[in-house]
Amino acid sequence: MTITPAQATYFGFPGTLLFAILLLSALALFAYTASRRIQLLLLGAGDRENRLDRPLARLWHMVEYGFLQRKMFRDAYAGLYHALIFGGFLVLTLRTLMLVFEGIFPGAGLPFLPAGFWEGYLLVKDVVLVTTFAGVVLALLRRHVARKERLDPSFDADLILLLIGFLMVTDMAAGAAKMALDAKAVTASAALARSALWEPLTYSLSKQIFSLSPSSLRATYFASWWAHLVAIFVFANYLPFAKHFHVITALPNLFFAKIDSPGRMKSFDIEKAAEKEKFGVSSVEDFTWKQKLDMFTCTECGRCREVCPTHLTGKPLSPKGFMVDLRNALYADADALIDADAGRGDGSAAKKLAARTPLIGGWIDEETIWACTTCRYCEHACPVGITYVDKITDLRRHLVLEKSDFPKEAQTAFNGMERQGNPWNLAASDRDAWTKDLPFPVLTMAEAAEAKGAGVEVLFWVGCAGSYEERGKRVSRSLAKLLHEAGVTYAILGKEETCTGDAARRLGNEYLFQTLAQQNVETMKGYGVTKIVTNCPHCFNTLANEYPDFGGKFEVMHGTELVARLVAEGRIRLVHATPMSLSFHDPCYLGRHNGVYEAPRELLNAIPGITVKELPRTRENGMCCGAGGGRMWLDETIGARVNQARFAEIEANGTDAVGVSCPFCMVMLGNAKTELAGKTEAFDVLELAAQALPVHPG
Amino acid sequence: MNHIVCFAYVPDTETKIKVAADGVSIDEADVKWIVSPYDEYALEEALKTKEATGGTVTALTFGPARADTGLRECLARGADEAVRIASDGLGQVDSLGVARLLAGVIKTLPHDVVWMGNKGVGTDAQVLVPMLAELLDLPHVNLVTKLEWKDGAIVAHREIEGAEEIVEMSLPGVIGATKGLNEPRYASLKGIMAAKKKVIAVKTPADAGVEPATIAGPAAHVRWTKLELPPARQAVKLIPGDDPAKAATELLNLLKNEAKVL
Repeated sequence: MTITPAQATYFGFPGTLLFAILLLSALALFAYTASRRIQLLLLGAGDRENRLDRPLARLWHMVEYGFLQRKMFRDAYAGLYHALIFGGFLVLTLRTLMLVFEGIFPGAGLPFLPAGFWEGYLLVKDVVLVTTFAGVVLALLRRHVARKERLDPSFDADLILLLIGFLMVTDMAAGAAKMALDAKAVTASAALARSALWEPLTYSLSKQIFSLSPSSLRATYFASWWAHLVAIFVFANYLPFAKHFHVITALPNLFFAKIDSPGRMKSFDIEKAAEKEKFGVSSVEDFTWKQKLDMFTCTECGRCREVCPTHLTGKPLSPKGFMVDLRNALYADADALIDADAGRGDGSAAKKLAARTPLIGGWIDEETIWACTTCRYCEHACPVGITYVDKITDLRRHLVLEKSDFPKEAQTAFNGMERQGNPWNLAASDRDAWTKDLPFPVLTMAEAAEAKGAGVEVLFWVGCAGSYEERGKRVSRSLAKLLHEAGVTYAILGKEETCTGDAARRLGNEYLFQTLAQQNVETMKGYGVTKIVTNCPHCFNTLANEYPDFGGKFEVMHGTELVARLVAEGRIRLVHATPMSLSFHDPCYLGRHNGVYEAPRELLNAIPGITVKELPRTRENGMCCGAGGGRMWLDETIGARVNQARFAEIEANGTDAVGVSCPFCMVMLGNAKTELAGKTEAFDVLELAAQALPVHPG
Repeated sequence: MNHIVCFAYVPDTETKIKVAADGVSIDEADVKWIVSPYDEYALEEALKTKEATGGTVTALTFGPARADTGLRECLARGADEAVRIASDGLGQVDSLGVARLLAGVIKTLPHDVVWMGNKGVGTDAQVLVPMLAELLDLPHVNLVTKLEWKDGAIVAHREIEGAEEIVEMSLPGVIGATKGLNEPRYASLKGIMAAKKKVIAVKTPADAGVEPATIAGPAAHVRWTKLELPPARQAVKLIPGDDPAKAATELLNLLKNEAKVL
């Protein structure tokens, strides 16, 4: 029997003792680092949000995106090498346990699991050692030969990849050398034949080195075995300090990910926050534990940056850069934060914190914070479940509510919402003026309530754009015509409707948003509203996902959803043909935020004459028009304009027109057409549907 | 320095004004009230000065209880004190009456600079700044678009027709602010929450040393007899045709007989 490295003695020290010291030091160091990271996660003013609701859904989310790597294969090459390496980790974790066990109890195998399992496992391990190594090579090629723009040169990445490669080489070398030694010790035994069967790769390598002297083989075996174990311990202890922390945190981050509606912003109790005189986030430690876990988890793969409309148009915000800056801010003062939190020391920690680089204006520029359109393309792209928009809006909340420091254009919008109930700052009394030119009356809820017996099936939530913006008003009339044609009994709130507050909330003005939300919920509850239809995706998102937090639980449909259903049920016939080819531009707040992709397409397909030609970036990958997150109300002074970038893609699609389903997309794309002297005109899907209605005489 | 900022609490400039049934006042239903935008410039400048050099800012208005919301807005932006002279039961009060009430209360408060906008956007006649200065026996500078501070004096840039006038004024004095002086701030939530806890001092005409009968009713110098909205703007009239001479004749005819301006 070959002596194992742990059974040998080294300068009089038993190998087991050396091994035990190494193992315990590695474990102790790791436990220390991990506990510091957990302390960092939990300190600060961020609330202790509960992320244990719906455990089964969370588990599945982790399996789907973690173990099955669902997002990784959107980049097939990266998906492949990552899967090879990830597969290696899954398989070889057990191998590491085997080696550790062998170090403590020389000559013994792992006690659990039946013997038959191990033979199969050895075969898998044997193959995986090679595939993992191949994964490392492919990854290095991506980083050094054909690097994508989304990746930045990274010493960390190279170091970790080389370390992984080293682990594979040493594992294989130790196995082969041991096998060769065993083969020299016994002659033509059954054990060798079994090795050939279950560890064929190691076996063939062992045959290559069989001619070496026993002492050389032993030296190779021992050196590889120790080097492998030391490398594992170094690897494990290096992970928490670099971007490869995701090896440990990605699965939990996916388990704790935001699994409710992605478009829903978290509310907070204004009175309570006022007692602490703290609104939003001004210091990095005040993000919640999950937000900090996001920072730990970022792998810097840049899939977010690659698709971000603000980054692509040359603005200072790149989601990856933002996340890395947040992490750097957190790590830079980690020790002082932990000491100050524990109340340890002589106050030097507090002094250090007082003098540190500020988060806003230091680590993160204000321009970065205001650049985001909240389109969530980055969140759709992130393979490890990181959210970005919540952190942007938390910073905006601080700037607006605590500092009153924001782009001055926003003030006009805030004043308008506050005083006249719309960001255009037009007279509240004109809110229902769009109904005037219709050939039939549009009842208000108040009028319907007065006319007894006129039960209202659905509230038509018009929204500010649908009430004031010229094109938006036309679209509102289109929806009214479609509802009228179908015989749906509906009503509007008229002058009682006020802005949902979407833009205010996303610009950080939570106070204004909550004031408007409470007012609207009260008005609708007063009329016993249960169902709402609206054509504005921003209103849709707010009404459906955010008003429940203020006691307003309604069934909310987008205009295209209701009309598509009415068409399917035969309550509306679309007969007039409009021959045209059409691109369809998915609004972020309808698509990525709420998963409504089919309804507008179904409706377009039901209109005679229209053929839809999908854009290259469509559905989940649809690019923002530039208006979201309150950007509609801000000037866009840095870089190219987002609306023009999107419009250029639409023009390149070569269709007669582009269909939209959001009044803000309509404005942005319409402006881009004028600015670029383009030719693709934008139509709302409902305008096109209303044009196809049969004409009734008289 | 002690700053007193007077403001008018007026219908939002976007309000579609309707005449009330009595024909002499506006229909206040659905009206959203705001601090007059011109007074906002005055408040902003007073706050900026206080922040730079110390002192206090007192917001002062004349009006019914609803004006307390305007006072809270001023407090939220950074004013230290708030005073309202109650208008209850006085009926229509003309500008001189308002000036007398404001001056009466200002005299009871320490004041180095008295501020207001050059005009409200409500029922004032753009005469309050000089009236108030006369009643307080102080100098005034109106329509100020830029201010520089000197020891015990100010240098004010003011708009005049087609030019800018630069004047120096000793303090105490009255300053009338106008558009261009600054960009008024937006109250922070911190400020709004703090303002909720502050007390608003409510004064009566008697506190101002003014006998109501001397400013209201028949004693008022200006009385409203009828309020009507300006006529709806008519559509543009385009004179068609290719012959300039013919079109000019037609234009002349319309200006004489229809528009009656010639």
